[in-house]
Amino acid sequence: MTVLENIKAKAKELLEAKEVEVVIGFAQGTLPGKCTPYFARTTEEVERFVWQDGCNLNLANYLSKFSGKVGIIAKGCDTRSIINLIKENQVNRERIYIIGANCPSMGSCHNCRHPQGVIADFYAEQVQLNNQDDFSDVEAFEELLSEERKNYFYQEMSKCIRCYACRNVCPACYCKECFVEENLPCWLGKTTDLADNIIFHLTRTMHVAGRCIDCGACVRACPMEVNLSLLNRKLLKDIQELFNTEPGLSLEAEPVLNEYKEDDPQPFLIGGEESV
Amino acid sequence: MFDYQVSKREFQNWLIKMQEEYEVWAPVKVGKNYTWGSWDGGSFPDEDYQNTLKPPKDLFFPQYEVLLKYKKVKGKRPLIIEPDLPQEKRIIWEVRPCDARSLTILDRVFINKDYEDPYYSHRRKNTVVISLVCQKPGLGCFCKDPLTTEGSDLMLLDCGDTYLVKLVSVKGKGLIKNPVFTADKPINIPMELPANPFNLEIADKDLAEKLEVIYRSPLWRELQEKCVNCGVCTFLCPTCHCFDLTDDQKGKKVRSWDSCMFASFTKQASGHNPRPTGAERLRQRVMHKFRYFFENHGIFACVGCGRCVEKCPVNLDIREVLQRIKEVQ
Ligand code: SF4
Ligand code: SF4
Ligand code: SF4
Ligand code: SF4
Repeated sequence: MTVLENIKAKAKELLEAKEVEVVIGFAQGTLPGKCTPYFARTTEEVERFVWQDGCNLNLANYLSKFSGKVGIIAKGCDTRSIINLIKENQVNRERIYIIGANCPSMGSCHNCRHPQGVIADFYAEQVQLNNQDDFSDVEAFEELLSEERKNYFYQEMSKCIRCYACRNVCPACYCKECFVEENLPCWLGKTTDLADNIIFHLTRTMHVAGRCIDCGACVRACPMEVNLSLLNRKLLKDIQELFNTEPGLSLEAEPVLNEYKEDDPQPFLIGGEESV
Repeated sequence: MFDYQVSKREFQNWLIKMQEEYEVWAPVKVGKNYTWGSWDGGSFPDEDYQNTLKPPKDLFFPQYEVLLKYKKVKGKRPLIIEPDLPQEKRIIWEVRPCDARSLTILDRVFINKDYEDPYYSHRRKNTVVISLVCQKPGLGCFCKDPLTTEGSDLMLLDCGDTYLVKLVSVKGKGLIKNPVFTADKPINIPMELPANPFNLEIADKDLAEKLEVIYRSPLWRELQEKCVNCGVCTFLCPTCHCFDLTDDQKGKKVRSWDSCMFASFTKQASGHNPRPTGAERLRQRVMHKFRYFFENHGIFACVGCGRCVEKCPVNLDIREVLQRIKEVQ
């Protein structure tokens, strides 16, 4: 059986046995190469599922839309976001059934290390892949002069139209009230002035630091092709180097910024280097 | 029927001459995309020019602008400083016909018998719109007529080394009062223009009536399920015109685009939100475009430019939405 057949068979089984009320997956989109989130509630609807290049949103984002038992077809990134959501008490593990499958859009992300699900109740395929994320893109950027980095960053930030698609497709951005919508008083100007844009992005980046799993959903959602990946990946690299960890890999490990140890490396403080 | 045929070189020279008096704006390629920018005096659209990412509404109704400034004055009424209204004369060219048409929709909102928005109307009056006929519709396009002249002052059709030019408005005609362009008789379109691949005949008025009936339909809930309530479809729409007014700390009153798809759009001071879920928000977007605007102005507030179709991050396709609405019994 193909991966898709496995996925469909499991989804039908779950719906027939009433183990879940809906299965979250993808259907064919209306434009070439596009897939669209799809919520199957009957075995007939399951037939519309696809699993192919283009299934590249992070479906974990939709879990909170449903209150009952939910099945979800999850690739590596989605499972890592699910882990985070469980740990942050946003999703109850008992309520979700995870159908794990390898990411079908392989090759589109920078040396993805976890294309296969990290947790699942059922795996639709069993291929172990091992890539190494080398962060060479971030390293190349770090090599640039500060003026060059600033110019590039300003250029990217000035493209933003503040549509918040990046935030709204991100499973880590689940705040009911985001700081950008605070208006009594206004925390942040509603303009696309460079300063307002930068504050939005830096605050968001810091708020998802240690929780962002680099699924790239935000980057793909952005209509203006703002390079958000660099910011997210810089933080992932720092987390890797400073704390030797990656977010969303285990249900037990404490999220890295939720924890404080006296011997935490603090190279960003004056004299901090020595304490490493 | 077009009025003139000119070589691209002649046209370019004419436009360069115009730069003495006008700012000339054109689609400028940045990376893979086109954005509105100052014309360099030399570039012509590439083969791959479909349309600009952001619509030209930004040039008339910018994403944000300072409407006025105020200062506290001790013991007196606050001092209000009104900005100078935009006076520059502009030509924007290579505007797609759907986008030119969208300006006539914005005109109905910002320049009407009850109210004239000075910021918008100054820019609009000082700008000449030269459109360029689409010969190859984009993936999401569903305009009714790629030859529509609504909103254009002049219209161009690319014929390789030459342009056919159509005089549309008085403003457009005035621009070429000493024609460098010559023609003996009206010129027919020399090529077959493609029929629209996805013609929804959205301009049939049954749609507005249908929408009235299905206001409470469960369809909205179903259609919006995958929507993430971002601002892509409305911000990139050439006809969407909702805005917010905010005061910054320094005494500036700022107008900025807002979106009916945002959860915060209708949130009231009490905390109550009359459009609490995505279903009410999607319904509002569709109702405004295809029912309320039609009832008020006799025209749909959608020109079929396809931006929302191509850029929606979850592929919630307005053409599909309209199709589903049509199918409701
Ligand atoms: S910030 Fe972007 S890459 Fe990170 S989890 Fe959110 S959507 Fe994915
Ligand atoms: S999706 Fe892109 S344009 Fe929209 S707010 Fe995010 S970075 Fe800005
Ligand atoms: S662009 Fe798509 S996801 Fe965003 S609000 Fe519009 S329909 Fe919803
Ligand atoms: S609703 Fe969509 S297709 Fe219609 S004018 Fe707006 S962006 Fe273009």
